Amino acid sequence: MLDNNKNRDELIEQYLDNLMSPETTLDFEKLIDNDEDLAKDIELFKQLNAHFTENYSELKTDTDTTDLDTYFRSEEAKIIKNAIEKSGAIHSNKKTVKLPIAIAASVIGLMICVAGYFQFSKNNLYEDYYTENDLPSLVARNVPDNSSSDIVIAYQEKKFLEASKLYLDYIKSTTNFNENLFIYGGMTYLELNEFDKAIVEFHKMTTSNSIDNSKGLWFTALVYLKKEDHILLKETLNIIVQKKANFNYTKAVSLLQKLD
Amino acid sequence: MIQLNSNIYLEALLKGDEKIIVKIYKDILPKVTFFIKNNKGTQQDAQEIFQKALYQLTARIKIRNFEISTSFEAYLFTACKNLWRRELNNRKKEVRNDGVFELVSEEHDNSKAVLEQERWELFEEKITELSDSCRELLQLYFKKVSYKIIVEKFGYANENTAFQRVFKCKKRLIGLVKLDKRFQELC
Repeated sequence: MLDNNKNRDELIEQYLDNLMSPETTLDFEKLIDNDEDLAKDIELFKQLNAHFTENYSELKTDTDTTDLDTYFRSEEAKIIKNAIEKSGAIHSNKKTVKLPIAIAASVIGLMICVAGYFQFSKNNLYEDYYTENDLPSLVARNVPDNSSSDIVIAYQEKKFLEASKLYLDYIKSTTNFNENLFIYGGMTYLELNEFDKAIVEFHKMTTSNSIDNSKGLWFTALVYLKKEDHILLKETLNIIVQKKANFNYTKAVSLLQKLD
Repeated sequence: MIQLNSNIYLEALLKGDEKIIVKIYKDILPKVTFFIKNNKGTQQDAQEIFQKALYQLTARIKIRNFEISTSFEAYLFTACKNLWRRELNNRKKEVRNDGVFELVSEEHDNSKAVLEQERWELFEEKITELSDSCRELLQLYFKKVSYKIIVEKFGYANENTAFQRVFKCKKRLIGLVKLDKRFQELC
């Protein structure tokens, strides 16, 4: 029998916590069947409990999903799904191609390390191999873009701190990023001897869809050259010399020979 | 990572713009993979969950005119976490082989997952609107912390007081959910 002295909320709680006797539960369920508001309240209590306790089997499953089902069955949705899956495959392929190269290059680097082939200084080599002529031009852009020009001007005037600040502001605010600016951002950090940050920017260039993305590899090599990190320098150069079309292929071959 | 405006990602998804979608993979998938690999999953699981989350997001944009209120990365990561918990639960059910399996088409399963994500957002949003004490109390309650510990922690007179307090907080939460315009559609 239901205890009439108890208020409705107490009964709901007792019911949900299985604190009612079987007989009282039956009485209460009869009440639920005849009271739509009570049934809705109980359902919502159950949903909250199921949600916060991650009890997925109790989650409501009878909500109308016709509009969503129709979308997922549409041709439009299938085209989008294909594009998402294809992009995933492109992303995976980029990663799997890079990995064996990196492993091979690391092994080569390690062998060189063990053999003790690094008794030379490369400070002068950096001066020999870095030229401003390798920096990309931003003049050809159709849309005038003062922010990117300011970065280039600050860099050319050797105001590197100012250039780095302008670069940071630019990447935060722009939605139409010119990938060539990764090179200026990276070079700005390199001039400030912030090697890790420089590598990040050049990596963005390397993995971008720009036709000049191999410039990212060359400038990454310059970071290692300046840092005198000969293992990673040779690793990077070895990647560059795998394709003649890569930026500064000839310089990479020549630098590798000098290192050997 | 270059933070693009969320709308750019959403538009790119609807247009099937592979260049930007690849960037989404590059920027966000590693974080999702890390989470899934640390929670009984594999690289392959992470990729599949990521794709599902992106695909389901397109339905929300098309059908619900959904807009992301946080960052795109934060949204996608949370959606992937929820989808992965859902997947683990399904796998558990398969292993236990308990109950009758509901034969659900892939399309309908995606719809159900969208609804679950939407409900998740509604409930999580509403619990933050409670008072600090109510929120903390309910969080302990849902973690199945015993009333005995709750009594000690909150300094209640006895377990009955704690019981009533939990119920009042739940009522308050339900009141907030009911007032939300999404309630009729989702619950």
